[in-house]
Amino acid sequence: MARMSEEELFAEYREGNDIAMEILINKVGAPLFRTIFRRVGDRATAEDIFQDTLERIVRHRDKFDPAQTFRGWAWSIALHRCSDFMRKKYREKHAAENIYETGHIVDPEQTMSGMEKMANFTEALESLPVEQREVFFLREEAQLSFKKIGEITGRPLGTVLTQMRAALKKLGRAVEG
Amino acid sequence: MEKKNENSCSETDSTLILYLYGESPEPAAFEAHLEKCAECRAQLAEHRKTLGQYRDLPVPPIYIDAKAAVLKANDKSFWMRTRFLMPLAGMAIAALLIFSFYLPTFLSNSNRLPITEIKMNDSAASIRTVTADVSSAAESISNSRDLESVAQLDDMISELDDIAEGLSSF
Repeated sequence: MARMSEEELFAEYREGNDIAMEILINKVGAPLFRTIFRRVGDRATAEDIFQDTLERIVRHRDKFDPAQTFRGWAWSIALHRCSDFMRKKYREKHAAENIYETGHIVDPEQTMSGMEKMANFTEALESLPVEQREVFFLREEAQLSFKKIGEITGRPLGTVLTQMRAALKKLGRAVEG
Repeated sequence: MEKKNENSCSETDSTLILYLYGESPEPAAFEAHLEKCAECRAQLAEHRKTLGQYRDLPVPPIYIDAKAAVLKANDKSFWMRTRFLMPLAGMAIAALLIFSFYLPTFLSNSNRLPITEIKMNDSAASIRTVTADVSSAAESISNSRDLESVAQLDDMISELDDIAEGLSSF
């Protein structure tokens, strides 16, 4: 089962094999959580959204289209939940404060600069058009090829690449400033 | 790959991104272009710097208990999918409890005796049957003129009749 693709594992799970889902979570859990955390900038929120994403994956497993990739589908769910959160509750200026207060900085010596960079990136990501942000996370975190991203999103490869280029330019300007 | 003009290299923008992520179909050709195009080199360096900063962002460690996560998600999913059944189940249970509470009253009002009374009446009937048998035996003995035995049997028959009478009136 360890050699099965993520789509095959998910198909196994849909047929009632919980072990397959455990293997799948071990494969994608860390990058999925990283995506969510970098999107919302707060650990507690990221954990909630992560668990909520898993629950939605389970609840809507029968809606998964086998023609698409599991990662694309899972990331899409996670990013939508993140966007929901950001729209309703989140203020970027509190992200650095929350990280500092909860003490979840891995390297204490990078506390202030890490907080600032995190806040800058979070704000920059939030300012991206949703299509550019989606392409960025699907490539950078879900590790899907640009061709696959085009298939998932229904956009031509050239459009996807243009959106990625635009996202990188905006992020670069934001973190420089 | 050629420059459109001195200040732009837009034809290679997509190619640059593909090369950046190792998806270029012709990396050698793009590398040859990079040697001649300062703009592309600068763009590539800028994107690499941005991605490097992004990838260096701290992420809190998280321990993912996959098994627990699946169980919790399954459980939540079960309750979410059956949430409409819960009120119905509650009403069904309440109806059953109410029915069970009023069942004895319903049964008694239907002229049906409680179980204990039925059993006692059966016992009384059994005793009367035995009494009849004993009476029959006593008659046989009396014909044999064993008056003492007959008297004892008569006493026993009377006692059995009393017991049967008592059970019937319980």
